[in-house]
Amino acid sequence: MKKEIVRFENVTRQEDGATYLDNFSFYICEGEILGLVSVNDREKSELLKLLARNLPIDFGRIYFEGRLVNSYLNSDYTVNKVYTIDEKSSLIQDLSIADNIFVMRPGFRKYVINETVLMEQALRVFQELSFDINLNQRVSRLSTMERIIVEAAKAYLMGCRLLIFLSPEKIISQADYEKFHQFLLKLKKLNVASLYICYHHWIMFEICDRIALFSSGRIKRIFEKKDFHQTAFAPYVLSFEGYKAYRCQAAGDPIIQLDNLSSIAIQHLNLSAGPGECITLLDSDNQVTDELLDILTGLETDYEGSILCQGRDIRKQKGDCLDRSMIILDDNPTETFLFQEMSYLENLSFLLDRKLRKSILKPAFLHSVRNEYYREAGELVDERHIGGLTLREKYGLIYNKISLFHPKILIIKKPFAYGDMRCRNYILERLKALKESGISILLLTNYITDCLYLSDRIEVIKNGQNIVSLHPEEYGIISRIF
Amino acid sequence: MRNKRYLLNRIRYFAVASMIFMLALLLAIFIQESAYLKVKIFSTVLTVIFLFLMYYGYREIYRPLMLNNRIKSMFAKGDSYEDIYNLEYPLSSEEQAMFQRFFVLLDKNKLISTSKKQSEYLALQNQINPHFLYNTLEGIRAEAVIAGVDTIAEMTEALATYFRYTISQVNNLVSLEEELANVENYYYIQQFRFGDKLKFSVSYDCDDEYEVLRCQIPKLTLQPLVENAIYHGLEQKIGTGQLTIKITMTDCHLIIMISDDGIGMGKEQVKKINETLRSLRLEDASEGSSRNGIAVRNVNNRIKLLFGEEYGIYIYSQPNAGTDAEITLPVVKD
Repeated sequence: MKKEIVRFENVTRQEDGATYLDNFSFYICEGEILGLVSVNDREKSELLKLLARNLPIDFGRIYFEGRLVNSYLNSDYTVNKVYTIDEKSSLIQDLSIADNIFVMRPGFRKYVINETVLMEQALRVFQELSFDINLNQRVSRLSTMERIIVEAAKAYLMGCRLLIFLSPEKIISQADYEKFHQFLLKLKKLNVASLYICYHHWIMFEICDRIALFSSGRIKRIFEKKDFHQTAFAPYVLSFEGYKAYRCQAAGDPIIQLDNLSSIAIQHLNLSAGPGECITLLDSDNQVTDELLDILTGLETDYEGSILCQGRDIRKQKGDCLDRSMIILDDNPTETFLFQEMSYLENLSFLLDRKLRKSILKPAFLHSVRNEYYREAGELVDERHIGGLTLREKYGLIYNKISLFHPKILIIKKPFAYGDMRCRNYILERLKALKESGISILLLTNYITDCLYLSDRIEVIKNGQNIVSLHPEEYGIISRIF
Repeated sequence: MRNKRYLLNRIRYFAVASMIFMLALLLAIFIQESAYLKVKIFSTVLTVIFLFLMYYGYREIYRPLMLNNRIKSMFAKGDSYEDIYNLEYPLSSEEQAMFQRFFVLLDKNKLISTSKKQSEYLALQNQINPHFLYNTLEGIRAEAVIAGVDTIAEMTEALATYFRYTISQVNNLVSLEEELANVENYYYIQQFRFGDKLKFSVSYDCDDEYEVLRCQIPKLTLQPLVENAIYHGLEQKIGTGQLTIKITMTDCHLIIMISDDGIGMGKEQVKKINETLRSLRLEDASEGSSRNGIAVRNVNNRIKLLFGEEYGIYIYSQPNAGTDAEITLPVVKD
């Protein structure tokens, strides 16, 4: 008989007047893989907080392994046996795997450590997970997939019967996804429940037992396996299926061209994008992206081949990205591209003087910028500190800034890594508008998600080199490549 | 109306006044700047005792009082029904006895039967003698058989079986098997009206189907929800409608999901329904309530009265996608 691991019963949680969980009910059984598609990031964070710790709730009851652990009458702040695996590693990089698993864990109260016994225990766990690894290896040398398995093994040894995988598509490459799903099935055999939180429901179709759609603080619907198809999801999610991006006919000379580019991880990489063209570089084993960005930003100069930017070799060009009319966004631009303490307008016009080659920008100019973007952002333009803006508003500012600078080339690492469903839809709309305005867009990603709806071409990269180039009519075969 | 002089407010005022007095006393001792060591030690000890009393008062008196207050206010709002009878920190044994007396006076069983009566076909209103009804239906069936109209005979038989189950059985709990048989009979009657437009299926997610079917559930739990799904979900749908019952059994719960792929409901309506379903609403059991949409609330009330407030119904719905009614019950075996 199925054993319930977690049960939320009509849980309501409010904070600062906002309701994050509103009469929320759901349950997970042992060995079950439950998918969760969350429309709102903040609500999802509150749910994760409540799963991990018994924080005060305004109504309802929470049961853990059949025991009432939290209710509106009594919340004792105790910790539940739940482990979250997300993009940030919880392991200590300079220690070995065995040390991380046994020594660095709560509840390990031994003064004399018997290394042989610990090793045997660890090996047994890894054998159960059918994973062969040297336990004396340092964690810093592990690949993303190995790190996830080690963290899961640690959680299992800690007695956690619920593992939460938070947006694995952000960190796991397309090539490793099959392995990841196989690993989830092994956890299932060990009766460990998995809560698989992902923005893309269709990724979860092949592995989950049920998929819950979480919106407005409630579970909107729980989909059973028989409902795992787009038609069943269509009334619930923002559909990008009918999304018609402007398809560029690749007219004119390439704006950016990579010819036989080689460095440490990159091997004879070729790529070109014309004006208004959007190319997705699918880095299937997650090896090329960072190195390529280092080369494009000028941090790495030791490479062979050439990169032509508007027909000129960037090695021979002076100046930085801005001088080449190139903007590069990393996967979390709301943190790295914006200055939280500056005003909206200051953020918007930062470096605009360099772009316009003027030492001082006249107030009248800034005033006209303000008026121009007032139509787009409304009262937000007058915001003094952008720290309090929502994620979507911050993305709005980033794309307003890009449209103001109007670069020739826009390069984005994992454009849809952050943000909920609505936010991703917004990013998609803004990228579409930038594309239509003639900007060449290069999207670097390790997993094809919403990039499909925007790309004129997908360049699949494996072991540092192009293995196939796909046009829109061939996108359906991507999953078969790996 | 004259403002009531609440006892709790008086306690609050008294506690605040005592604290201010103690603080003033401590302050007076400290600013005295006495050179005597004994006075200094005395004032420090007094401060420690004062702080300890403050903490003790907060933890052992203030917090329980606030918790009781919260339970009482939730009871007053109708959000909770049972917690007030089992206060963790009753004020006194007399108060506890008083609440227990209220519990007896409310007569849970009467509430259950009032609630059940409403779900037992308001059309009948107990005005028709059941035996007269069965005999009449049996007479119609016999005439139809003689005339060779098999469909009328079958339909009448189904209707008689349906009424017999609905009206005659007086038990609160029946087996899931009996409930499902009643639903299938009800579906059979509805098929005369809807034909192929209505599809129905039952699926199980458990190791032992036979064991699940023996589980006891409140009588007339499923049929009112199935009726709701047909009339509010599928009747207005263009094309074929699918009605599904999925039964899941875990170590402590029996979960029955009744799903339709009908017209569904809007976000606000679903929210409102779930808010009324999350706790026992005694006002719904009153005889004067209108029939419209009351079936779900009645079933929910009966479940909560019979098994406790942690069980009941939860609705998931989306316009043009359908509605799922999830019934959570304890595992009760005969």
